[in-house]
Amino acid sequence: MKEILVLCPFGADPGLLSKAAALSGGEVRALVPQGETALAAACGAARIVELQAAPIGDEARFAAFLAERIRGWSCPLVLAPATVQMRNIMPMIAWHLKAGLTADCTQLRMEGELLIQTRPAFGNSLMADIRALSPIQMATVRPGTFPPQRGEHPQPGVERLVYCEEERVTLLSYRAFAGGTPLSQAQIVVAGGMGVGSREGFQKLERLADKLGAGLGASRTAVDAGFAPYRCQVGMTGITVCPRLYLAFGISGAVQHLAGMSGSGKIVAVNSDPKAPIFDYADYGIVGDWEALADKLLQEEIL
Amino acid sequence: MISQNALHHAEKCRFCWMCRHLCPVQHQTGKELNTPRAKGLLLSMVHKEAQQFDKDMAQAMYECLLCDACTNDCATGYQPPLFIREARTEAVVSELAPESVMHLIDNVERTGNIYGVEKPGFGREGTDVLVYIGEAAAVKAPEMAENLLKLLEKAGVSAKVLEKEPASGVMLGDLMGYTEEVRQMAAVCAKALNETKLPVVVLDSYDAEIMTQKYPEWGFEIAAGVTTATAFTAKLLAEGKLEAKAPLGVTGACHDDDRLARTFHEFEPVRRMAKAAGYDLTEMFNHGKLAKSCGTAVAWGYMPELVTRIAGGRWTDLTRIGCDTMLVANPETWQCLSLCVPEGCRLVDLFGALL
Amino acid sequence: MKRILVCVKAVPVSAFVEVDSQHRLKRDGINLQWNAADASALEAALRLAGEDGSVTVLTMGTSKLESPLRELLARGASRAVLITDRRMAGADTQATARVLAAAVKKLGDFDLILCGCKAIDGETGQVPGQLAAALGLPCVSNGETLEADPDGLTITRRLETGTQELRGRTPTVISLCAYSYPLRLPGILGMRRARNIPVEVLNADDLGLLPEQCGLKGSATKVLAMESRFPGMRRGPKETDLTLGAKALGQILREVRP
Repeated sequence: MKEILVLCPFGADPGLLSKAAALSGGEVRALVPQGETALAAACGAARIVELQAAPIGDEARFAAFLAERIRGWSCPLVLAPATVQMRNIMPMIAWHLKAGLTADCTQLRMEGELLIQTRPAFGNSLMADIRALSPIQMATVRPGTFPPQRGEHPQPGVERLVYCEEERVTLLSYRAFAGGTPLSQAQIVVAGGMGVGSREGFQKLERLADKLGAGLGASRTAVDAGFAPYRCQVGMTGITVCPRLYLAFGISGAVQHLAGMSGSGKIVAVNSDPKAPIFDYADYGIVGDWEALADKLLQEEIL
Repeated sequence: MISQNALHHAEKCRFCWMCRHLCPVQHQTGKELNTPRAKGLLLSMVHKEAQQFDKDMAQAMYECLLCDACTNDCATGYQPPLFIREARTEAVVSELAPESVMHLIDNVERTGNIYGVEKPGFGREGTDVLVYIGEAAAVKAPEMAENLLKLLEKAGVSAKVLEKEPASGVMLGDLMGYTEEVRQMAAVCAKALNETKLPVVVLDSYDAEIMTQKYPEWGFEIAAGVTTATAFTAKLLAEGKLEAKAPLGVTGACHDDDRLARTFHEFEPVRRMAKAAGYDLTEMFNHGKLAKSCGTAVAWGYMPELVTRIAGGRWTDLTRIGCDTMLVANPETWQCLSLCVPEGCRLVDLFGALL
Repeated sequence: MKRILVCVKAVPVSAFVEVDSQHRLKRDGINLQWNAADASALEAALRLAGEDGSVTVLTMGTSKLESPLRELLARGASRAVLITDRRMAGADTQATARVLAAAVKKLGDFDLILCGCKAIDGETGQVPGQLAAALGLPCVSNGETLEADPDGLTITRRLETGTQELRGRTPTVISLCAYSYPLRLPGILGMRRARNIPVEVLNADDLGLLPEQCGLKGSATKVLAMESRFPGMRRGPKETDLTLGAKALGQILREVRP
């Protein structure tokens, strides 16, 4: 089996590390930030590279630095979580290594020495199987796609890697969002459409989302109407989500919206119009007033 | 220069003739050129370079009220006003637009309205809502604007009106399509409305349309929300803040203005207002979402004779059902319908009727 | 800011598209529009360029894009360049970045190169980084706001869990979010002006690229299979009683919560 290098310089991705361990038969080299070696080891990394670096601003320079190391390690397979930062860094590494790179994969499998990568495109409406044609094969993998498998593994070797190069872009500050889980990684999404009717309606949905520990989503029409901010927009021109449960309130189910959420585990639709298209794509439909149901859920100790 | 998207709409026509039966302009003129499908065909021929975009074609693009009745019934689901609006832009860019239209554009650029007069002020302070009067009401239907303000006062609503109310951009948008000039006008208006931080109650549904449909798309939204004056009044009635009047024993028909009907799908509030004003209701041919246009303030500005005929057509619809009372709650329909009130008929402003 | 280049891509308007036997997106006969994030990048460029700067828009695609490019000239771009060549069809992100980089070198020095953070069709977001790597420039992705002063650039960048503030200098590549800068519309004067500006058309030979550096041949990845997947109908049961509905939903919530 070939070694797989998993690049997690900004935080270990346990699901991806576990998947890489399974694909490579335990031959995983993991690059993780300081303090996350134990986590990487628990997820099956056989070799660990612990990165010591100041906060990174010039990702292009960092990518060139990593590309040089990867040449040295001669790893034929390089994976990284498809986070905003790694989706910037991996393409630059791929350029330097002349390696084929596939973005945001949701399935990976080995066929001999080839890594077959499956990724959705165009919302979720196209699924493509892709392989690299280059000696080095690379992919970014959608976070949360694979379940973490923690277990007892032999003590891995730990190597330190120090990065301190002059940066052309400097990181001045970082401000975390209030309210926790980003929508794209939420396990439950509570979303509203035009049927929610107002900003006040969305405030109610937000309270419900808070109660359920869910992210708040919205259809494009609701965002256009000013009911919810753009960062909540799910669909073609917004964010693609695949939570375990997608709870759609007053969303009619335009194809553009379906493109952004049809990969969800379970879909529950609440709409007063029994003919709303969303019901065709839902595992469970509730025909009725969204607000009455939301009130019920807010009042009751349902969990 | 018609966008690909608009061309797509123009070229999808299946010549099913539905729009021909519904177009209020074609109804009056009987000219094939006045149908939406003819305009689509013309633009498609221009694209294929079989025709030149000339003065006559530009003229044809202006013989349309942008009322959207054709979209409502289009078998292919396409939107003729989309390409008609872009054709107007092309007409202005190529300096082929009719003189009468260019005159109005000059007026709008000078004063914000097609009338070329300084907009009369309705300025007042208030803390609950901001009322947006609009150009057509301020100049051509000031009584309706006053009536709305009095009605709000009666209901205990503290209404603010901007001392200098900027134009919403809807008039310029109808005259030359949605260009950056229109968007800039909208930007000024959105800023002024947002500075008050008050929810906006809009008297003219034409203004409400651009504020809710176009402003967000252009990157400005009215943060505290936009409500039509009719929906707001109906809510005051439902909440008991306004009292219903005793029955008058008079039967009237509500004229649904086209943008209220087809953009907002709003039909009930006007009827609730009419009932509360004491009227018994009957319905004209083509009401609700099929509402037939009786003309617009902008169209009146450059083709007053035709708009008078179109308004006359609506009065015929009324008398045909044996009714003599037309109930309206929009300043533009008020303006158009008042051009030709048939003898023995009455035009009623529902805001006034509720006072 | 003197000279800015904006890379734009035409993408299908429709949410569901078809692919041909070679797994390429069928672009004929479908309605195309400029990718929203690229439009946002153009608006940012127009604001930064102001009166005395210049904004060049660059795209790679079919010859049909000439007239849509003209629309971008009407919106305020000063120069429009279309790279079109059948040999470039089927390019992956690396082959695309190679072509764009060659064009950038040919078109001259730019102080700033802006892109959209991702296109709504391919959704890879890989081209800006690879273009930067090809040109040896820094790259900031997912920019939310971008401001320039005489000493450099300040960028706010959206990550999953928060916002970074970054300070950079020119020349650099920056990709912007779709919602950051709503693109201005074409104005009447802009449309009149645009009529007199020709769209410059380039092919692989003009860029000094060999056929094996472009398109499918120049790609480092290969699509093995592509499946059009209209979201599957689930058609689950419908409940009209809210109390029963809430109860069933409670059950589902208990199942999905770990």
